[in-house]
Amino acid sequence: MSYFTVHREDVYKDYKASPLSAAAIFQLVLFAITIGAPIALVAVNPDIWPMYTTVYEQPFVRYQQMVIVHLDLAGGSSLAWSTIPQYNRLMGRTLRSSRLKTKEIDINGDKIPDAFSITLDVPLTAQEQVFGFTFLVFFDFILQKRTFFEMSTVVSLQHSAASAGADYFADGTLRFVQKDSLRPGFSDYINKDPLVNISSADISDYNVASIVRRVATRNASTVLDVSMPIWTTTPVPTQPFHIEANIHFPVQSIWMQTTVLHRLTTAGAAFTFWLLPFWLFCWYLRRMVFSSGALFLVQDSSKYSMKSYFTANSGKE
Amino acid sequence: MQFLYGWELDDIDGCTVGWRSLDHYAFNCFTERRYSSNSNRKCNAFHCSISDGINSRAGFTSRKYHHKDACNYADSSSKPGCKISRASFSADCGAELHNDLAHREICFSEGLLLQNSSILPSFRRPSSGDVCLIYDNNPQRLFYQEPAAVDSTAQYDAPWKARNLKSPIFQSSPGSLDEDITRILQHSPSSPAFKVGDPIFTIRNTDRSLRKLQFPSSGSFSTRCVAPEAINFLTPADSLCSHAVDRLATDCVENPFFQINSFINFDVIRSAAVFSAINTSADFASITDSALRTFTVPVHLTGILDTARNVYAVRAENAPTLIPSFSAATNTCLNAVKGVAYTFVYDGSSITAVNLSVVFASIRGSNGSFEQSFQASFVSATIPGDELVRSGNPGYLDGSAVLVATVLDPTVNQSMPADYLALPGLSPDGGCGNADQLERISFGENMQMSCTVLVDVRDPSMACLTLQTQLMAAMSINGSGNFPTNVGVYGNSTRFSADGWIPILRQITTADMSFVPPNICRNIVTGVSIEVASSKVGFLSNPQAKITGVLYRFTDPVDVVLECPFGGCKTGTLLPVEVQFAVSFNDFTKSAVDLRSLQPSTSRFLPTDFFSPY
Repeated sequence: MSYFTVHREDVYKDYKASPLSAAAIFQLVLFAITIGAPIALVAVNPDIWPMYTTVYEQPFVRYQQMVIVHLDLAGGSSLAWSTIPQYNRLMGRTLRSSRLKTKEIDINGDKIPDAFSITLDVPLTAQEQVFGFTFLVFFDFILQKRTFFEMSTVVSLQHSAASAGADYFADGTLRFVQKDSLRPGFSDYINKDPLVNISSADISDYNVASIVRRVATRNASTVLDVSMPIWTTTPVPTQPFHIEANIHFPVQSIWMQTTVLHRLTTAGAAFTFWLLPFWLFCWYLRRMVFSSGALFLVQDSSKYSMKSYFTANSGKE
Repeated sequence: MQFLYGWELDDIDGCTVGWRSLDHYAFNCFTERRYSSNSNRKCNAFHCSISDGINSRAGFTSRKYHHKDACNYADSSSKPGCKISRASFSADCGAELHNDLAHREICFSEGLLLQNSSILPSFRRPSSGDVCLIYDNNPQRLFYQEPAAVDSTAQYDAPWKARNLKSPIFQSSPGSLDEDITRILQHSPSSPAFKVGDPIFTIRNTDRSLRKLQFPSSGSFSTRCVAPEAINFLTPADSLCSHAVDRLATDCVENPFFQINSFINFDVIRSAAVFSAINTSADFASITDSALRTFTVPVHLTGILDTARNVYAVRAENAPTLIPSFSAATNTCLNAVKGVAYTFVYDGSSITAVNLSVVFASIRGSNGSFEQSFQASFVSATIPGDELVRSGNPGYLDGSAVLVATVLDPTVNQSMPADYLALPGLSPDGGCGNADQLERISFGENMQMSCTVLVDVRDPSMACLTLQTQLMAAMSINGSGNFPTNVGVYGNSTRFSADGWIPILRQITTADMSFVPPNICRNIVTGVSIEVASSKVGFLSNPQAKITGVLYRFTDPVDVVLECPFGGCKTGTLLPVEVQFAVSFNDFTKSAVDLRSLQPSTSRFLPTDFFSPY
């Protein structure tokens, strides 16, 4: 009749020694190595305590229904228009009523605009020719996945040329620029302040330089990267000056501070990584030393061992 | 292991063996006679130099590889890398070198190679393994192969094909007439028919040549009329471009785009069915007049406007006699074509009529440029009298016009005249344009604009009385002060029934308008925001946009100061009052309900015969 293993379990042995014995010190040293060495390795490696991380998120960019345009005409005169009535009232004779068309483009249907198309037509009389312009478009820039961050921002399109223009076309990408890291879960209410006080009757509040300065002093802003603007020349008299821009909102890399949980998780993973080899090393060393009898101690089988079982039952039979 | 194949040079002094490798870099080696200190045996130590081909020709050796045996024993302790035992030196030098040379091959172990510093990248010392020199004396390595004559186009094409490129020649422009005909025939060879986007073919009356109908268009960098733009079937087109008039005397009589004959002197192919019988452009030249009339439609002049006098002054039948002529006295070109508008009447896939409306004007040489406009529109023959192009079938297409209607008397079930939702156009000075300059609102496209209404402020109290009426007239579509009452739910809503039209809501804060001396007009509504609610309906795979409501939200009343601003009014005492418009589209789509039926539960039982299988 053949036999096979139907069940297997460990047999425990107890090795006993006094607290001041070499065996106890040996055990203490091994325990210190098992725990202390991984901790030391984790502590000296700065990557294990990441203070910053980079997350990727497509921002929610919302048009603020607000633009300001300024055209430079031949002879040094200019035209201006805005969607801000107060600004238009301040412009006086410079005001030229215009038409603006906008469209948010959500390509993948995730309710987050992937691009924004804006078209401006400024009517011109037969004598007016445009040699340059400044076009400001105001947006809300919102991050909401890892942090709630909302700021007002402005996109500036500017061009000047030696020959009169009929159209201007630009295709650009909005890029997020940070001077400081964002805090997770933190709401930045300061940046939410509007860049323009639309109820102001002071023309200095609408000054382009002051708007840009307000943006520049913030810890975060946006930059429109336009690689190939197209300036179409030979305008047709009385035809409007046409500005068209497509602005894309791709996924941005965002510099963020890590959360405490993030740091603990990373350090914990590293500690576990280093703990395993030291634990195995100490386990084998401990087993070798105690089983070889190199240290003086008292061996006692546990109550679950076969020896203790037979010892306990020997008198009953 | 790295192999270097070499070329053996002449023996010198019966002992020195030189050889050279030109395996894309030079490798020169020669033997040097040395003596072992414990035995007077001759030992050949190899000195090798490696350089790339260029520096080798210049006689410059930039890398040196020394057999380690070149180290003297006296240096073995002082020079780094010269740690070699006396015994191994004897063994290495005494026997192995000669033996290996006899086999025309010698290998240097990695540890026996020393390398001095060099920036030449041509030779990479192996990270491990030996470097072996193999004497094969293969002269082909030293010379370029004799090239064969490249005498076939296939051979010339081979390098381009290898890089998946075409040879750098100007590529022929695609889309010849015969290619278009072939493509149309491929759609349905048995019964060819025009499809959306197919070109419209014409046959010129003078030489019967088959052409595609085109009109001038501007290029990318200028507004000048430089490039042709094709008119395609069922594809409305607009083009606006300009001509320079610096050579007006010549251009006036020579520029074909100034002459009406260029736009009328041809017939239009009625149906693509003709291509099943005549399928090359050359075959049309030999067709008889009677046959030609069976498959072509003439261009019919329907309207001619002389913009100089702004009246329909010329009878249509006399239009071809209007030939541009140049007046040197006034530096003006008379009777030049300024605008062309084709209207194609179609029935299914065939064209049943072509109507042409032309605008003439005089070109003044002092203007600098002359602007021309071209337009092509398509009208269905099956819905006579309704020239309103629909905006989708059934749902609105992005960019299409929003259909609105005005019910004059809601109690009567009358037909509703449909129109497009529009804002007033802008005159060149920013004023609210007239009904001819409407700005059509496109579905899904938000808009913000303003225009100015000029108000005479000499008597502010009188101006205030009519101000609100003037502004409301500017806000309405046609300047009448009436706003549309209904909007088409779908893009194919017709004017012949009230089905599919929903009322437009209005929100206006009424306040008593009053005049506050000296110049304030109180409680004036100066703008309107048109908010369109839309939803996607139908299958998720084929959503149709439906308008579910339109709200006219007028701005809150404000005070208007009736005085000229800083810098004065533009025109005397006419104060420009700004009227603001905003159009926005909001999506109210309700997502499909994520509702699933409960999954049926399965009861697992043991087979009934599990305990009694027999």
